[in-house]
Amino acid sequence: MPEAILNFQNVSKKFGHFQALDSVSFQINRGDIYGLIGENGAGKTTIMKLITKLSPLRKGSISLFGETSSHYQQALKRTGAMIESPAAFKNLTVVENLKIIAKQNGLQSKKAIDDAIDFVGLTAKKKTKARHLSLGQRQRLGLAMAVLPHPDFLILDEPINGLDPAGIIEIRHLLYKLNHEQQTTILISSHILSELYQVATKFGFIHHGKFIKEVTKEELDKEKTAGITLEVNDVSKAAEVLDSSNIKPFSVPNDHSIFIQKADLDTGHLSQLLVMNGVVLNGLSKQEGSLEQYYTQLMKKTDEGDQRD
Amino acid sequence: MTNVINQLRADAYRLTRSTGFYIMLVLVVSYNALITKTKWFGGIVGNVSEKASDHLTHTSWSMIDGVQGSTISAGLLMYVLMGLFVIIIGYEFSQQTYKNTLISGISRLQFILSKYVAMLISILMTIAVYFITTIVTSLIFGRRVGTSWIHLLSVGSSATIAITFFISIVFSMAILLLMFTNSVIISSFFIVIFPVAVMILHTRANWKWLKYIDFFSASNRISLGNMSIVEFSPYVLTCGIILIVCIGLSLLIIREKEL
Repeated sequence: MPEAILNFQNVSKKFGHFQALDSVSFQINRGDIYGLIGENGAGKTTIMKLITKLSPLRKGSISLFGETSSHYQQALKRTGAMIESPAAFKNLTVVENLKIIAKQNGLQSKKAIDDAIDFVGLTAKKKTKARHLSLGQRQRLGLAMAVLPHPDFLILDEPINGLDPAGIIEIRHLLYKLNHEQQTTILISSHILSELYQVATKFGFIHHGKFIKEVTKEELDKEKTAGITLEVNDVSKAAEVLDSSNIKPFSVPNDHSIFIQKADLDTGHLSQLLVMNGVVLNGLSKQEGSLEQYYTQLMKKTDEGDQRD
Repeated sequence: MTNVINQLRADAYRLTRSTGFYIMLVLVVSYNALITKTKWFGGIVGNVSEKASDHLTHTSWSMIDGVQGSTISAGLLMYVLMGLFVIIIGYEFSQQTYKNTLISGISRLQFILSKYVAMLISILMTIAVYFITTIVTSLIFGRRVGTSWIHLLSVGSSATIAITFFISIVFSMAILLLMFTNSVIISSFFIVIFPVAVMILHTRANWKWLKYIDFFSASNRISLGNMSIVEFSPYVLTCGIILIVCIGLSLLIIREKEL
């Protein structure tokens, strides 16, 4: 049975009248790279702040490394985190900021600091003051601060914000290395779902403070929809043709395209069928199912369910 | 305990990397050298007996006079030492680095205590530098000791400890205000206004109880030898109560705060 690193049980959180979290429960096991997915204000950062005790827990229970939230100072010592924007002393250099983290954590090794700087690719900027770093470089500094004490559990809130494409790829490799070489369990949130898909091994979906669903990457790969997108001049007519030919299921994302949730159709036959029925076909593309698509459909289903309730 | 020591080491490192800290030391040394050289005393004076004031105005200063004049002039140090408050705890909140500190596994109580102790130690060292400057400047100008060296050092140490303790009590109130308002500006303004407000009220309002928080008058009396141990006890008790209340309330606030 996998060892639970984090156990989040029936946690609710209110800010005034706003229900930020509503009875959220989930578990993160050793070795997971857990991707937390949700819209702005869904409750991702609140979850991370509750785990790190930056936000007081009022309802529910959290256990970290088997210790309950009221007494898990020791568990926090095994946890690294970068929540919201990375915080550093602006007048101090990269090295000086990391020395402070080392002293706070009782680390003596100078090599550990150099390794952390090297790990995040900030060697050329090690003597630069934090105030002079770009947004992406500050993200890297924040990551270096989080990984310096070699945490067993790493919490990263939007770590690839502000990074250029090369930086995003590097961070992806870094997280992979941390997980595979140092066996670090990771909780990560990101708006860039395609990136999250490439990194995470398990996904938790949160919507308006409610925990909607949890899937492993394997389950997601089975569930996410692949299909064919048609660009047409008249979607109603095209829909009628598909319906009468029993080509289902399909959805109409906008007034000039149709998405058929089947990827194994004969596209030649499909285009011929539409053209022969008087539909002008402007484009046809096959697509692999993506996390974005899965997320959009899941949120749509959830909202429809909420409306029916 | 280890967490507190680690945090103290981190704060000490940060302080020694701060230009503001060295500017503050230069100001303290220059201010005292000027007082001792020119035999001027003043600032936020607090209550000083006429006899002592006359003596310091009309005699040629010995080292012990320098120490007493420096004590009377120590009120202004509050404005310079405010820099320590800003560097040690203010920056944590203005630059939101408290997140890193608190995630490192330190408890809220350890965090507040370590910040208070860091300020206490750095104030103590700065005030010690202040009085050492008196002695060094007096030696440079070839002044006599004016009493025995043991008595001189005893008066200097008592004044150093009293002023440090009293300033740290004002800082503990400022910590509470910082926790409550999240504003470094408001808490720094409090540090500026507190001694002046107490002194004015003490002089004008005739509220006798105010003397227990009129810290500079108390340190003047200690330095001038006008306060016995028995008379000093209520001050220690008042300060102890203020300290416990401020640390306790700060702890309650930070525990309940959304950080």
